[in-house]
Amino acid sequence: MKLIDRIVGIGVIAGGVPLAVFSRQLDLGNFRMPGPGAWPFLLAIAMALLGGWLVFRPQPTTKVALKGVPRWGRLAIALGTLFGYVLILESLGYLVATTLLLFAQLHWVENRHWATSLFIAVMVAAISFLVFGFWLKVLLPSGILPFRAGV
Amino acid sequence: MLSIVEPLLNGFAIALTPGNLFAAFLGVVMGTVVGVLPGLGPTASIALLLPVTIGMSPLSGIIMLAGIYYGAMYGGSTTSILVNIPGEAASVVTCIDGYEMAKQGRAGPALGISAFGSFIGGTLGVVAVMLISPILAETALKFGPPEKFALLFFAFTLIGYLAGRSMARGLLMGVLGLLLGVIGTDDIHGVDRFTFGTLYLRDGIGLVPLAMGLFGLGEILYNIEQREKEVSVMKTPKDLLPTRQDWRDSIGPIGRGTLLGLGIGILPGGMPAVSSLISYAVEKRVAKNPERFGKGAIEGVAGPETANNAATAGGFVPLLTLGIPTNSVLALLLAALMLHGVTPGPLLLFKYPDVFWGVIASMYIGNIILLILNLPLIGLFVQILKVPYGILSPLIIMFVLLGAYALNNSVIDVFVTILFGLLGYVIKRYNFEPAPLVLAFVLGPMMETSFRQSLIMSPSGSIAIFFSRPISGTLLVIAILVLFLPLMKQRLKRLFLQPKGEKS
Repeated sequence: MKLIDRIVGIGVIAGGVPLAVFSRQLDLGNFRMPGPGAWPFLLAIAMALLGGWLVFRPQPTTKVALKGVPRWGRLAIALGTLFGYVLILESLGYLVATTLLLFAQLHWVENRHWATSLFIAVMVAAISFLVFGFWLKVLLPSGILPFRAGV
Repeated sequence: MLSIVEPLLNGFAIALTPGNLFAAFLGVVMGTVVGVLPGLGPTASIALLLPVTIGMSPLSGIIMLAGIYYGAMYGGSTTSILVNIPGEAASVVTCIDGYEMAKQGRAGPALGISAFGSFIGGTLGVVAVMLISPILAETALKFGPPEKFALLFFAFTLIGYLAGRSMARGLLMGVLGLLLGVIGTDDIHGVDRFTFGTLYLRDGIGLVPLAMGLFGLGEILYNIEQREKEVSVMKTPKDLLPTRQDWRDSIGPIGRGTLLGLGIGILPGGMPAVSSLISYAVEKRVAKNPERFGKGAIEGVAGPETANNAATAGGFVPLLTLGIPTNSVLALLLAALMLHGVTPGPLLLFKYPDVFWGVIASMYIGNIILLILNLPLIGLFVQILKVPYGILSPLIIMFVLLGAYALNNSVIDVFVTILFGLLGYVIKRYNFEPAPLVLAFVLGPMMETSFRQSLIMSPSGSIAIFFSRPISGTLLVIAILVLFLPLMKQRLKRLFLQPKGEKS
């Protein structure tokens, strides 16, 4: 905890300085007419002060362990599928992209059998497409499909 | 007092006509259903369902919209408790202990106390709207930018109470939230700030991608990284309703939440999120065992939920009597009223008494419908948690991303939600708290505008304006005390409790 606080504190102080510089460039104005940079400038100072507090405050010497051992593999797959979803959503359309996302999450992240994953993915994507696209009229991307929901 | 009985009875006669009763029922049902969908809070629900009311009589339309508002508020709390996704800012605080209760198999009591608290806060709020509207409206008029800033600053100082063990960490998250709120076009000078030339950032970061990412997605990513293969993070739900002990623990928070919500809801800037935040801080302060907060304390659900519903009702006072919306949902309701040809303001009571009293009466009815509708639904909602987490979490991810997309039909919103999801994961992994960040993000833009407006209206351009006015001065002094009292207490403790030999 102590080490993390120090790292975060130093990072925050280091971030506060360029933020204050950018804010000054936005025009600080004066007390009668504060400019658009005044508020972020004050926040940058507050941030740097809080960073200093985190670095220098007295802390208990007992070690607080982080929760568990990281399992980066599953997390990386999950994040990969999420960012992949952003890339394919408009080109493939909501229905196809969401089916793929759900299948990937269920099968590769949650280790479900491929048939179960496929069944759940298709069903949920189709139902959500009907509810949001046709009932709530949300304009969902059609992508490769010949019809469009939400219109 | 007697003068309001007759018009109120007349209002009930109007609200209880089959058409209006059906409008209230339909509004509450639709609001709850849409509000339960992650990402679709009251603002989105009203925006989505507004077209349904066009073509109805003005009164029926407004009654339905008010019903949608209550329903969506309650629906937002449901997702906060069950899947840690706040539907709107007011439910952010509910996530803290509500979701912890759900993880411990106590989703039923959390949802139950939320429903009862919402009902009590909402109903008593309506009584107050009815009885003290004119007086409250006058008080609200005394609330200029300095007072608004002082109230928001006071709320900000309470953010430290949400932070668990470390106030410094909580305040740091708060300042980060304020900074994120700066992104976009400056309201006063029209200058782009920290937009890096992108069109998307000109409107600022949306609350929904931020809150859903930090809470919902962050939690899921954290669980993906931490969870062993088939171990559920949720215990099997036990009771469906609050126990006697839960009631004993909650009655005080509900009473205090009602008063707080009412008092704050009528003030400009006193939106439901502020009232729930202050209520949480008060409950933690008065609790015998404050260390239970953040670990599934029912008081942390009862107080804020009651307060935000009382504030919701309280917000109708300035809306109906002065035509001033105190938050974005009420601003949308104002637009809806005008769309129906009704202009709220001091003359509403005289020009459209049927609308005024009809809406007031329908608020009672709406709250009763909400309770009747939602108590049996608790069992159904709790069943959701029986779905294995390995199946539930991809579904939550899908709803979060869909909710983000549905806001503006924009893939960038989805991308931003994922980025905040990643930040939410990091925050959780390293024992920081996302709630202060989200609440500060909501308070920030209003705080800045009122701060700058105050300085502009100050005759000498001095910050003395904040201390020379009684309301703002008092609020700021309290805020400063709240901020520094824990530090002073720590110092005094160290000074007096240190063993003699260790003194240097």
